[in-house]
Amino acid sequence: MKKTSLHLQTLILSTILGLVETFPAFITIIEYFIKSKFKKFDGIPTYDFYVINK
Amino acid sequence: MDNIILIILLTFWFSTIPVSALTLIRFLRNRKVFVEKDLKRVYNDPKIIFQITTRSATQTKVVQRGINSIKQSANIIDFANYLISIVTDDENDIYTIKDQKCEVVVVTKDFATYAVKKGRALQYAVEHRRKKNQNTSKFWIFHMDDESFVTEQTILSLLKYIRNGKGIAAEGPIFYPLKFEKANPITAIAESIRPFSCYDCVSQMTNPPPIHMHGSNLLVRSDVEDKVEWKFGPTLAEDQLFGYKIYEKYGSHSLGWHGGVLLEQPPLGFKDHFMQRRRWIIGTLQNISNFPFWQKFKILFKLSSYFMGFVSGVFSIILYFQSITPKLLTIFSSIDITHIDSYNLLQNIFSTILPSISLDSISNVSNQVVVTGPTNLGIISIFLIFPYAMWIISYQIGLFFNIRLTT
Repeated sequence: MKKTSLHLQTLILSTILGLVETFPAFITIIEYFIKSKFKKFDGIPTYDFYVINK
Repeated sequence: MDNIILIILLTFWFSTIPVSALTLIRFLRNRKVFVEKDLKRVYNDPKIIFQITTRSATQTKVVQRGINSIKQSANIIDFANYLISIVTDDENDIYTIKDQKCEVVVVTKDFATYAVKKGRALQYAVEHRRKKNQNTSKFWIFHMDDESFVTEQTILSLLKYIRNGKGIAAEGPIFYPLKFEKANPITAIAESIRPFSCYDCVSQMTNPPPIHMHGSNLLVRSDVEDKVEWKFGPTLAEDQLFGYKIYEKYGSHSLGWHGGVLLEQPPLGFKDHFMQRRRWIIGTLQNISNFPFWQKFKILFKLSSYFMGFVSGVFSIILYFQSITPKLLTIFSSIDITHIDSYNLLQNIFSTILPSISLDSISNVSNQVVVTGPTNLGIISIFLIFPYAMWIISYQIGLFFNIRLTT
């Protein structure tokens, strides 16, 4: 029942999930090119593999 | 302006059709090898080093869960020829996991190499093994993240791949059932896309050069890692370059797919989700100059799809709501409001939210693309259903894999 509910939620939220998935790419690519252009890339906090809370 | 928006939207919308077709083909083609099923215990064990690369096992408790999963799974299938190596930046880990019978390799603070962050730690581990004469063809390294969880199926698949001798580096699928319940519900189900995208990983690995490769669930022969190394300079996506360099050095038959499943966990919140994706994008952009033209083109196409996915998603939602707002207002109001000029209502909203984009342009696009409906769009509308259906199916299949092992 719970699993079915999750499948339904995913179906209903598919559009939102698409935005959630692609938003980081949208922001990051803009940020990267703006900061690269002004040679401020060093200032971007890079957040490497250990930043994610586990 | 109208035409430009229309062209951009149509270009992206229709570019998803061949991409979706390719996705479907890869799904159908790779479904039988995606998860290795034909497994039996054959006692010709090579030495496998399970390497967990972490900043700190002391602060990241899930590392111990990963260690236990290796021991338990190996014990069940009676596999003893292995070593667990914890590569860490935290010297306290020596005491934290002293009872676990693991090798703890602390990356010293003064260690300098042409790599940063995780790449630096991975390079340290290579050099550490070099000193111990473990960088030979008799040793295989299985790379794991700190939250990775190994099952019997994982180890049996690794052993089978090594036994078959068809390659020197391989990957398998990663599913995300761990801490599924504790994660933010949206980011947990958003992770459904990743197991499905691993069908593409099969094609990337079996038809190299790969345009991406994940750094965990990566099996590589120790001498190969020794030759390729991790000295790729300032990049956050060292795994992507590593895959390409193996192909470059050892040819197209060097890479493969072992089909062993590794279990991991989704990002627990929106910030983690965002930062994780952000790291992939920055890393890929940092790497782009290292690839030849055709590889660069494929990667840039993928990045632009990612980028345009958001843009077209936002515009699609706007167009959709613009087309259904009058109907919704009619349905949800007891008053007959069909005479209300919804156009003016939306005009006010858009002038507030998106002052730089006139509603006229969106409206014109809308009239050309959506509002006129299937009569004018004809067969084109039907074609656009296909990528959307693939999008939905990919999430459903990915979710199936992710929650199959949750309790």
